[in-house]
Amino acid sequence: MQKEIINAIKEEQSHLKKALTEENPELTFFEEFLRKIDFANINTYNNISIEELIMAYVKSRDDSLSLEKIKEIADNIVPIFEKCTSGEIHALLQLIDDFATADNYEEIMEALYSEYRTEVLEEFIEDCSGIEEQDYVLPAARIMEENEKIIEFIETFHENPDVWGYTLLLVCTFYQIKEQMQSLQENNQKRSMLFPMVPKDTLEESYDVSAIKNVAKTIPRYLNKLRKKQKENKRELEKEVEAYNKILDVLKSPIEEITNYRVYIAGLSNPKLRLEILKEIYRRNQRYYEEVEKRYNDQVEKSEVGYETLCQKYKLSNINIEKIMNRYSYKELEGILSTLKEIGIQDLATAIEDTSLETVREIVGLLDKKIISIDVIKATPDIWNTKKAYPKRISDNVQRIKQITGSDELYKTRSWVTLIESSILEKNLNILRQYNLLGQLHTTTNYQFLQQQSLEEKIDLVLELGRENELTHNLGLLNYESTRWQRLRILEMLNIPVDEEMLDGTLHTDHFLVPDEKVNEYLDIVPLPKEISLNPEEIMESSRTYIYRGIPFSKNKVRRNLSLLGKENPDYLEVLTTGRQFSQKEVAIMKENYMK
Amino acid sequence: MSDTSFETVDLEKITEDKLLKILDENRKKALGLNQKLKELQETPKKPETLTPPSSVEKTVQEENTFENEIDFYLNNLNSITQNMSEEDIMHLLPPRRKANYQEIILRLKLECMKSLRELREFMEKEDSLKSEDLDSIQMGVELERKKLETINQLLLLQPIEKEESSIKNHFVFVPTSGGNIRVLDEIDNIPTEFYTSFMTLFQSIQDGTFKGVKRFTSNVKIAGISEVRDVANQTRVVFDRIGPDTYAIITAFTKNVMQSHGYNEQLERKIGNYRSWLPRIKENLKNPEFLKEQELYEQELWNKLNSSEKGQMGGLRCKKK
Repeated sequence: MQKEIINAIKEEQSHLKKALTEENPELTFFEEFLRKIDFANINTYNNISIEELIMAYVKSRDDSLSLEKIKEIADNIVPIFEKCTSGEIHALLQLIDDFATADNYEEIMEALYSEYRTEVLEEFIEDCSGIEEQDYVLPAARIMEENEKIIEFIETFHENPDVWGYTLLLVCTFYQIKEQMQSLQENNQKRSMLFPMVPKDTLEESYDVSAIKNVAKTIPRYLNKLRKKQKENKRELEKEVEAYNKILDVLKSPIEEITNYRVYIAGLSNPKLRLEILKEIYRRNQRYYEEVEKRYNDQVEKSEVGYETLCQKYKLSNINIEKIMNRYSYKELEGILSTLKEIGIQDLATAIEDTSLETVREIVGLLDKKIISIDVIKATPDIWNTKKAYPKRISDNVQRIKQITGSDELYKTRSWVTLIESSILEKNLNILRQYNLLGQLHTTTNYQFLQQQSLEEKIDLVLELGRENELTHNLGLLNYESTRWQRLRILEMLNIPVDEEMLDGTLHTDHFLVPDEKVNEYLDIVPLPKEISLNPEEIMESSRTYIYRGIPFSKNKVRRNLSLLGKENPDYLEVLTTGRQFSQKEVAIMKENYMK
Repeated sequence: MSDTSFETVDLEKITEDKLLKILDENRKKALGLNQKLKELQETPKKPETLTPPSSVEKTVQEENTFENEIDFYLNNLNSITQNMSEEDIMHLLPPRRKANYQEIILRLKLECMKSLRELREFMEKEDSLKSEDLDSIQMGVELERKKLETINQLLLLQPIEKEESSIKNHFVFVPTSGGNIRVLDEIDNIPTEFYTSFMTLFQSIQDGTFKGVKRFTSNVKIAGISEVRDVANQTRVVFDRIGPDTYAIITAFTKNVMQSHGYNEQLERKIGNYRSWLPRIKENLKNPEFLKEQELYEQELWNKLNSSEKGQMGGLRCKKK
């Protein structure tokens, strides 16, 4: 693009330079004309032709006609004048003037152009004959009759009678002078033959040219005018060439903003080229602006002001700007904040404490896939913490849940379960499977127990407290701490029964006979006496427990005991009772009638 | 970031005038942008700015009023002796009309069972106990069994449905070092709008319900002394059990702040004063004149507290004790 415009400019410059060197034919003509003739010196009058005189005078009086046009007119009438005397030319001038300035000019011209021209003119001659003041009509009309060009000239005369009137006057005068010159020459010749010593008569002595000079003064004035205009044009052209040079310099220089484009194009005459130059300036300036914009953005990103502005935009106050600047690039921070704001996160300050754009996007991706809900995200302020790697944990847990439970119901219902530490979640889901309790997940919507460390022991305790049925009806009972469950033992000690309807309330209330942290102090747990033995025939089963005389034992615990004890022939009692607490009452029941 | 977008145009069909206008506008924007850039480059890096204000966490420990009551009655329970009459024992236990009577009794039962178990375990654990130690432990066991039996008997009783004043404790009013009855003076200086609340507190001591009771345990100087409290009105009456059904009324006041240096010091002083009077008070517990005097003081107390009640209730006769 730039190359094209530079070439166009150079081409324009060369046109201008060429114009500078070109001759002005009009100026040349007038220079030449006035070099040949000096209107103050009658002897120079013969140096010019009548056509030249007409051309110079008419042009000097009427600039609207071109020299070529004037010459054309002159060429039509001068040959006719050559055949006339000065008197006849004068008569012709008068008649032309009469016709051209008559009130009924149109009528006259119509008649003169008709086929009856001769008759019309003869009639006119006849009308004017005998009138002394009109004795010019006869010779003039006769010339007109014979020369149609004169008729045509009348029209030209009509357009500017003043100019053409004086022109013909001058012409007439020049012919007169010519005649006089000839006559003088002849007389001088004759006299010199008779009287050789007698000085010759000169034209200057007999002819006063001051009137001619006065009339013809327009010619040298016109020449001056032409000279002035020529000078001006030259100056303009040179200025324009220089203006293009400046533009070329600017366009060739390294990219900088061009600001005084109006000045550059002011002196240019070519509108098309002006527009192209402006377009090029626009393109250049755009490149410059892009660079400035980039530098500005880079600076903003490095500057505290930029970060502060960004934080203010997101209404983050009381934030450690230096820490944020060290942690995130400007763009990353902007991306993080806009994404968080878009999904409705209010506590942006906490969210950006230690996160990354990648982490944010991963979590938003999980949100979009409805794997995790926005409520859970908002309730977990550290979910954005990159170190905690929640996205991976969530994805892993989704797989685990599907694999172990066979469906996605669990996390669709309560997506927060995907936030549980993966190993714990997997372990607890497998525990539920071992206790055949996975099918009871639907009995609750509170899955807090899935993140417990000791879920297995909890289930064993619940079973040992005889609450297997209640558990299968409401798996959410596992959310109560073991110390809460021990309340049932306390109430048993006080002979206070707790039926299924009362169970949840008993475990739920914060107000109990004994503070939770002290429950164990009040339990009447006693060691199983060594002398106790079991009657295997009295052992019954439920789906998850063995029951001996109404005392439940967790089947899974018994199985674990089997492998723990590692004996080939383990003792029934040991396998059944290892790891279980017994109340006094339970010991008494077991002791009854069955001692070693 | 400010709007730094520069106008772009389609150069194909644009006129000279429009292009000049756009060049002018972009130039203006560039000027502004360069100025901003200069400012940014010149702006010195500020020192570390605001850090999040540290939030002062107020740890408010919620008082467990039930545990305070248990502590009080447990202390009473622990003062039961083998020779104590049933009537005296009943004075130490909560009255049946107390709202959480059942809970307190059941807890006390658990405490007894716990004590029994501990004694039993101790006996089983310690092989080489001397006979006098064994006897002592055995007596402890029997005492606990006695308490347990009493409690079990109470548990068999039906709850009381209507108000019954089966218990009526007696007051002994502790004088100041100058000999004035402290509580009566204090009541005079307390705004009357608190009198109803104080009435309730004194009545609860008298009927054994001990509203909002708490025993002082943390401070050695005041340990063993108790107070009844109306937490809503922040009124307190500090007392001490000096007999099976007799309570020394030490001081009464309104308290706005849970912990205040001045309050603790004052309390220590008053209790210290009480302890100095205690031997003399105990000596006079069987003195009819002394007891009569205390009754008069008690009447005076009710009169003072009732005078406000009378005003509030528009002249109705209030209950006389």
